[in-house]
Amino acid sequence: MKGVVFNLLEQLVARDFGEDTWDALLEASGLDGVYTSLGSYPDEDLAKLVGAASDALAMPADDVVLWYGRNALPLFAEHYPQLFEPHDSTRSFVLTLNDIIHPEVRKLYPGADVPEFDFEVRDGIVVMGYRSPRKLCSFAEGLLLGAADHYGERLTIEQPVCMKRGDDQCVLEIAFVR
Amino acid sequence: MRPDSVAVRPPSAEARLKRVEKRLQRERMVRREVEEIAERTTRALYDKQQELVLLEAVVLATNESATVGGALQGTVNAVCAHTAWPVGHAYVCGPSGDLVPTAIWHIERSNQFAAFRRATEQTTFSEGTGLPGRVLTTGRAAWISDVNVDSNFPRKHLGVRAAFAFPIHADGELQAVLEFFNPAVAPDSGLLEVMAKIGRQLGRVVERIHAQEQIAHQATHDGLTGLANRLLFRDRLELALERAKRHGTFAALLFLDLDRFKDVNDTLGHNAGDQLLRSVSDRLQVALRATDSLARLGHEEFTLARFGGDEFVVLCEDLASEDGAVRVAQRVQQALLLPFVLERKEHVVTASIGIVLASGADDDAEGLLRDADIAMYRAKKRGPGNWEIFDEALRTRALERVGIERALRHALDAGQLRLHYQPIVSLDGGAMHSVEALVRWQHPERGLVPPGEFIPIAEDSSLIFQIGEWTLREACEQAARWRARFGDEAPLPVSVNVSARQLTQADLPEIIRQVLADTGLDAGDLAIEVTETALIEDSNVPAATLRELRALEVKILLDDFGTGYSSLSHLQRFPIDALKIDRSFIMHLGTGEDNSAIVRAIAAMAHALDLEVVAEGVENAEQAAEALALGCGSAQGYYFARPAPPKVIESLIRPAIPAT
Repeated sequence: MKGVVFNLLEQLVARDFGEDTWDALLEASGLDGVYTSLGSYPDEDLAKLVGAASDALAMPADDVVLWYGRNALPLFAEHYPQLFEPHDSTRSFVLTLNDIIHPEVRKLYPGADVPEFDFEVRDGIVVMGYRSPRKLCSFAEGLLLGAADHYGERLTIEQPVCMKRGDDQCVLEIAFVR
Repeated sequence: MRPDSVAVRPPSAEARLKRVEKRLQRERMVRREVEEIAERTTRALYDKQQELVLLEAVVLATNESATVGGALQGTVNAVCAHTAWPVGHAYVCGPSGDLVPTAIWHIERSNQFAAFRRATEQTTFSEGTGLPGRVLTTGRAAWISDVNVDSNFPRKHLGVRAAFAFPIHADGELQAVLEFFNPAVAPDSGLLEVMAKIGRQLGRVVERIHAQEQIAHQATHDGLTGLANRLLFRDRLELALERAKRHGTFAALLFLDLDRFKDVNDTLGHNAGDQLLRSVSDRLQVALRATDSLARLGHEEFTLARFGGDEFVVLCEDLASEDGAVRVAQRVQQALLLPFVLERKEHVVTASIGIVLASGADDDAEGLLRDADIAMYRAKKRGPGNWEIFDEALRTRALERVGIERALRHALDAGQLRLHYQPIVSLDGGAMHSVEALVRWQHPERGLVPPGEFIPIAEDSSLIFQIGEWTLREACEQAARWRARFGDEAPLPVSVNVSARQLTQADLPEIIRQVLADTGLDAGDLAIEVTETALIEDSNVPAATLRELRALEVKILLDDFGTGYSSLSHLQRFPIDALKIDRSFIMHLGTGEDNSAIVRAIAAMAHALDLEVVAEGVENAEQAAEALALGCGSAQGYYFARPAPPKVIESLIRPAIPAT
């Protein structure tokens, strides 16, 4: 996992809960907390930090990840406005994930192991398939909600199938509320 | 301020904490900045690498291309593969300057983009219109993040969103525009710069291909008229023969040779000659196209070629019947009917056409070309503006001629040629005063071959020059011997026939001077006979050449006079000593079928010009008497003596000098 993921998390935790909280999370996870954006770090580090946060905030781990995704998105939007500007809706933005956004991510972070999504549009609902050993479907969900915030839209996400429930992939059904 | 004046009071714990926090913040910012720099350089490096990979892919895809189309297709494929954009297409610049869609596409998921492709292929883009038109106007690469919201993009809502396009310039002009599409909206991520580079790279490739095509075109086309040349024509002919064989149709070859084209070159210069060839080429092309549109002739196709000089060749394919070829020949001759204007003067041009038909069954290209050439010569023999269809008899005759030519070449080396001499006598008294040297061929198997069988063949080849020089030398040697032996009684001058082709030899006077020097013969003991037709036919015979010979004191006789319809003023251009009236006028003298008026007129004219007159072909006493009465001073013919070997001539010389 690229260091930038930890950097963003630190930034958000420090912003919303104070720097001491981040220190506390590191201590509780037994991590030294040296993360540089371009470096690669073990996936478990993130799981440990999420676990520690879940304990500290008395909040389900999935909710922590979702919070992280939703709050990380504005930071992305600030850093990479050119990825957001061509779109006027969450839907068109999301549909460029595989073709535009992830290739751009790979340019910045060579070796980044970004997930592939498959998309299907069914009755106005975008059905997004996700398959990753990291099982970070909640992060995707958070990012989707963050994107909706960005474009001033509301959306609901159903997840009828999830790897964490033993399925072989996650399916996010995204409905846009008018 | 002195250093020791700086406050040394230890800061409070709170102040120190603040300071450490500030320090931490500073470190954090430094780290972020370093990371950003690293990200930027990583990204730039990545872009550069990808650019190189793409450029290399384009170079690979285009380097091997022999055609512009192939190079464009290769580039479209490489760019799509590299960018993962599913749609790419190439336009080329049409004759009107608009961009015309081509069949050069790269399309993934073709069903998804079928409507877009149709819309594209139905549109021609002029300057400023749509994405390609924009590139056409600016000459620069262009990007559209979302075509559906672009104010200048006609092909909206057909499944594509992001687009970019770039131009290919070659030979100083915009040649093509490549455009690429993505179904998703996308920003210009700096891709345009590398695309502009690709455009430039492709431009060099196109220039290289153009240069190659030009070389290939030059190798297969005639530089003067732009028509196919012999090489390309042979190729087409072979293909046509295969097709004719498969489909059971006819093909025909028309071999055209302009009549008297040499006159134009000689009198008006090569520029006028070239202009005439171009004009003829234009008319032939129009005529063949016009024939093409006559549906009732079938579905012929034509290939027109120039083989060099004034030779044009037409290949007609898919003829429904044999007479189609004749109709094409007639049409070609009709196309030449109107005079051509050269140097502000009108010139009538005719063509002799040889036709050969082929079904492809057992025809080979080389043989057909030869047969068409033979037929053309045959047509030319019949006079200007004729056509002739090749047949087996023609081929046989042609082969015979080739055989004779070969044997004749051998005859020269093997000493099979002889000279016989025919006396020319004074009609007043019958005394021999000079002789005409006549070449004879003593063939070991065929016996004596008549001159009519081999002289025309020699004249069609370069052999006439060798035979002519041999004759001249042999006759001069004989004459010198006679002069030495018989003194004033020698029957001299000896006259030697010089053909029209020999007269075109610039060094003829030099050759004659040399032979005279070698044999020690007085120039006054030599006469040359040139035919009247040789003087008319070849305007290139410079009167100067004859004047030069005259200056040497070589006599000049005009042979076969009366057959060439030459005008008096024409004759005056040439320094002539004597006219020999053609045998056709003499043979009817005294029979009542009277040519006497003509003979009398010729004789009178000759006297007026101070020319001697010789009646040729006198066969009996009546003709001799009549010729004398009409004003001929001398005569030649069987009545007096047949051509004979030197020994026989010597026996006629009086007074005979007794052998010692």
